[in-house]
Amino acid sequence: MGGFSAINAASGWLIAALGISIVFFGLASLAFIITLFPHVFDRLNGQTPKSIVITLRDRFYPVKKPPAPATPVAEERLEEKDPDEAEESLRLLTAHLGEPFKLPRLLMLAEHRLARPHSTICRLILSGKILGEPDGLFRWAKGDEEESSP
Amino acid sequence: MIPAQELRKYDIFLDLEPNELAALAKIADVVHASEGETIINEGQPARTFYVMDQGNLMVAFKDGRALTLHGHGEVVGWSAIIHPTHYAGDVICLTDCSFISFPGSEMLRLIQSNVAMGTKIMRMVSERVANRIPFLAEAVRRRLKGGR
Repeated sequence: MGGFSAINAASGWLIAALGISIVFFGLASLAFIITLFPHVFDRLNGQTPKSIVITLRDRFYPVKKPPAPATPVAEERLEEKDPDEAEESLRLLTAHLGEPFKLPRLLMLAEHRLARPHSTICRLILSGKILGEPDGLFRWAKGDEEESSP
Repeated sequence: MIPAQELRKYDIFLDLEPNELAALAKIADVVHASEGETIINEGQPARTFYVMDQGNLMVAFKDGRALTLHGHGEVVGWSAIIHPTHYAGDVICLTDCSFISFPGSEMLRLIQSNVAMGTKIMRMVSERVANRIPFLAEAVRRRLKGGR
């Protein structure tokens, strides 16, 4: 017995199909993983190793927070009551990012920590506490730089 | 459509004649967006040009640089009237915002059919955008020359 008969007798076609499938799915999985690289690099771009660790920790092991208020209105009140706390949270985040920092990056990080990150950052910009640099980056105002408007 | 007189409130339309304002008003619409909403996505085909009525927003670019715009008369989505017609950055509302919106293709048609009006609008738009912050000035010059 030889040739195709031998292949048939030893289930060669089935084994060949199985091998092709394994290689195909292996390559497809690899291709999918490679397509995710740009997103991963975008997220990691400009971060220090320490801030990467903090971001990953917050994502997979979030710090337990006190129960959130039941309604968005209550949430808004909570933040308005304590704007200093929101500012302090942002200062901590920028301490990891370094100065000057990228505002979109700060906004993305703040979304995990503040109820209303957009309006909070806007308030700090309008009050002159966060200043825009000519190169499109941002920094905290030093004591004598704070103004009533940007 | 909005009343032509509404457009008089915006600096970029101040030089326009009444008939030019009327033509623009016919294609204009009022748009509202909520805090945190992204109204423009970078790289998407630029189909709408916006003039801000009120609110605060952030224009964010791919490299992480950004600028914030506050209040009446700021323009965003100007790629809709300048080739190549793809948005150059994300535009995110920092607070609730309202805009006057113009469909890019129709505005471009008006600009191309009325050279005088087109020149006035393009001059005002380019002045506003180029003067925002220096890092944008170079990008504006490149795009007006036809590059990306």
